[in-house]
Amino acid sequence: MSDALVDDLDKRVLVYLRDGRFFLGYLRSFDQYGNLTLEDATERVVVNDEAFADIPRGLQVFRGENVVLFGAVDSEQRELEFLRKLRRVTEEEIRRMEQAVAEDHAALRRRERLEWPAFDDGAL
Amino acid sequence: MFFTAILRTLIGEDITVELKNDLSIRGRLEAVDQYLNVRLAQVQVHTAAAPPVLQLLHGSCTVRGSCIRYIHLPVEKVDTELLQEATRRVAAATKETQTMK
Repeated sequence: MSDALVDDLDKRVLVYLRDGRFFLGYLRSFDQYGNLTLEDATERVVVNDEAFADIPRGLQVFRGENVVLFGAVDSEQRELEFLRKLRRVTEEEIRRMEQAVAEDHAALRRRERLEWPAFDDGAL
Repeated sequence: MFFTAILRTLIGEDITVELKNDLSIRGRLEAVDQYLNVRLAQVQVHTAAAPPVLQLLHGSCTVRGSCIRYIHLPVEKVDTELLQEATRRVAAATKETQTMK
């Protein structure tokens, strides 16, 4: 297995974490626990499949247990395709959009609780 | 170790891995280790609501064993009778070493 992983060293990889976050960066090291080190890492935050922001994170180590999958993204074509579909925005803008989505969800939950009080948390 | 051995015989075949976060990934099995970490080539994400960032994956992709819920194997590539016999043999061998202790 680790023989195969050596192929990814020095490549730009995508790391998908258990909390749903995505990081892109150059794979510099890994070990038998699945711990990873990315250089020039950026966190890619996507909201509603329509906008995204790349947040610079520098040199970052990931503890193996948090990683779902990772793999090379050595293709400009895929990146261009992604850029065609989603709009790049600033970090402030993406945080505002995240906030708006979270508030929408909260409002929906409040409405559900009014309409279906029996299903309210703790009632069942 | 036994399951690793089974999967090793399927290297080069197309398998589908379903993750605990409901993501379904299909690809050609390249490598597998004792934790059932799997490495897939030519990955395709099958889930409809999959995050678009995953479309960036190109070539091989490594999936952590502890995040896997199911692995769907091509049934015609696995001799289930042989598998059953092998399991019996391994179980008997394990029992033998335990009674020796």
